[in-house]
Amino acid sequence: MPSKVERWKDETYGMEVRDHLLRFAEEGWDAIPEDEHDAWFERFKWWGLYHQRKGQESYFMMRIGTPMGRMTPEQLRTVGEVAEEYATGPVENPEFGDAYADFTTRQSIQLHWIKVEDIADIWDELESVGLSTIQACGDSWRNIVGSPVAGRDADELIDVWPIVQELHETFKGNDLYSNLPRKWKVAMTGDRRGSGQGDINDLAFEPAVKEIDGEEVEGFNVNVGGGLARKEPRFARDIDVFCRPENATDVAAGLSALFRDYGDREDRFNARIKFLVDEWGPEKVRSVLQEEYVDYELPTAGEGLRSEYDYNAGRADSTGDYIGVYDQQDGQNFVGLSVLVGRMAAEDVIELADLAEEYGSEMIGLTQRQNVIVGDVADDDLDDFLAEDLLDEHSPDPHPFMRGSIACTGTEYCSLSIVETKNRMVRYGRWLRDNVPVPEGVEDFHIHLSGCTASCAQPQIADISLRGMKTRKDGDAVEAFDVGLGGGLGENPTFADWVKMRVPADEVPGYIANLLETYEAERAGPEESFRDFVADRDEDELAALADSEETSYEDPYLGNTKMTWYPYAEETAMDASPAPTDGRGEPLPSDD
Amino acid sequence: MVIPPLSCDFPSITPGIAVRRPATVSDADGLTAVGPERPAMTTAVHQLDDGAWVSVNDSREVNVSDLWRLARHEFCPCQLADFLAEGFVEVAPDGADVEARIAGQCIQCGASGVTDWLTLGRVDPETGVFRAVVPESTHVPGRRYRLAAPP
Repeated sequence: MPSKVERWKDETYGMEVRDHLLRFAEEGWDAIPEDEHDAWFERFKWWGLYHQRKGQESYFMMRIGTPMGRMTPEQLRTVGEVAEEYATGPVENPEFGDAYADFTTRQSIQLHWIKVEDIADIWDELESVGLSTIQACGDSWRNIVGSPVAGRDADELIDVWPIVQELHETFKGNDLYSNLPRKWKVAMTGDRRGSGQGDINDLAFEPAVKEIDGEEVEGFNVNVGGGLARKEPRFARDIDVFCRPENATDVAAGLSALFRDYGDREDRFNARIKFLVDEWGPEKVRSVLQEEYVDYELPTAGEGLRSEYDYNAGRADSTGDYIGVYDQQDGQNFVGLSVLVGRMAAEDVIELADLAEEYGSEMIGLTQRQNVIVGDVADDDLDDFLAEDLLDEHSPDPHPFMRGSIACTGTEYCSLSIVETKNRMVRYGRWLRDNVPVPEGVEDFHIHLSGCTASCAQPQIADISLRGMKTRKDGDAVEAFDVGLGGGLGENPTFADWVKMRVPADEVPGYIANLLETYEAERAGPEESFRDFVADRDEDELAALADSEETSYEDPYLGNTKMTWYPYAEETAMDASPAPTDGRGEPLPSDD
Repeated sequence: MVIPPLSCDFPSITPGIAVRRPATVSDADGLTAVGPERPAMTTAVHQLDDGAWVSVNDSREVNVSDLWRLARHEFCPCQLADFLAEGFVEVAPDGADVEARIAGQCIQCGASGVTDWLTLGRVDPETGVFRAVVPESTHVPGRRYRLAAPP
């Protein structure tokens, strides 16, 4: 029997949801029938709107999908202006103020505290500069990820930007693919860095070369069925297909149609294509694709570039991100700036857009490490650009612990999260910077903090993985983390080994300090990366590397932040929430 | 009176259909629960957002991240499990009660898995208002099963 969500989708889904949203925007929150809330909130996701968690009723997270994280300075400025005007809530965040934009691990933008009454105006502003919230959430083609500097990066095989634009235009708003059994995440990589992180996507195009009819052809190997969620992590499986660039749209159409037709619509927990690949095996995926969905003979896989990958690969000989200054093919430079936990104040977003424009940049890029890139900075302008005040806050040369920190949304807004995340990661980063010596030779150290098993911060592929949990301390329930070590992508993708379970959140910095002290003392030398150091040890040895302990670090969020209506409010109790509110933010009368 | 079968995912009673719990109700596993006749009421229950919360009559009522004390259970060896709810796997009405199987782990011993059916709360048959149980108090999973075969 199809799941309830499938029945709601059968009634109304996809493009037609837009008209309903515009009607609700016109008529107000109260116009959404109370006994249809669940169905409508599920449908709204397709247009990038996600109802915030309990205690924040009537407020939405809005996600803007930017293919490969790529924007113009004008688009970035519009994001900042929309954030400033519409994404302010009843209470300020103590670390980030009252208006900000979140850059996500899938190169999208999230704004919070959005009211349904403002949606038409927001869409007008976004769409006037070519931005959209279409299919940013929901069961369809999500934002396509890849290197934002494709076509600029001097270290690439294929410029994938034209192909990604074609995929984006083909599969956004396309009724044939608008209602899939579950989300469909696609990555396309053309560089030699592996920056698309295709291994953790439903469909991955990885750069490859293949000799066909005596000619060496550049294209992609196709992998299917990666993903990290629900303690069921999978790397995308090789289905032994080489794809020429001109065939990418056909192959992508075939595979997403295969998922549409054969994916599980009865059990949403079993719906992602990774489970279909488990069940069928990659050989059957290939044969069904060949026989039912493409009309040309699929070549077998070519020679990939995986041995060159360094993006989030934990290598000692290369940093694994885009932070810093890099050469472009045209002789100019792109500059990667650190955005701690991916959250940038709205005024900084606008200032960055202005700066980029001032320096002649035509491209801003969001990376999967929640950072931002400014492209097209000329050699002659580089020193001036690097000296700009904004780069003191968002640095191209940040401290290694600040540089490598990623965090998901957490209990601030998210229904699934078990723990507070972003503010805590900021505090962890500061404490580590101020108190823990950086092991010699380490330039970026990746700590990924995720609030739950949904794994939005990609915790399994980090040097240190933190996954939200609870424990008891002196009898009281406190927020905690399971700790994993040694994950990463690159030539040999590896998920973290979970070595310490249920560490109280206030003892995590002490654990990391002790762990790095052991690493510095026991590693073979600076050429042994932390990831290699972990790989060389068995489970018992890893568990014995370090103990957790309290330190001078103080954690203001140790209690159950999920019990609050907003963790940083003065009065945090659920019944102190002003929600739901009307279009002006005024509390609506309660039914009770 | 037809009772919708309880499926493995998102079982629900369609809004607008009055459901009267009969003296005997059979669920999808073929287990039988016996209870008194109850007045007619309409209840829609769903688990949503990847099992993050349970909706009762389109109102978000029960969240993940609570700790539940479980007694007389088979979830783990602990006499009194200290169970962290990480995701609602199945949810179903049982008369006026709303019950669920929850994925999570015992934070005492670390065992993880899915619980037997737990009562999340009860819908007042007169007003339709849902009253949640207190997770931190002690709960006995699988009560429906035991009621079906009293000692």
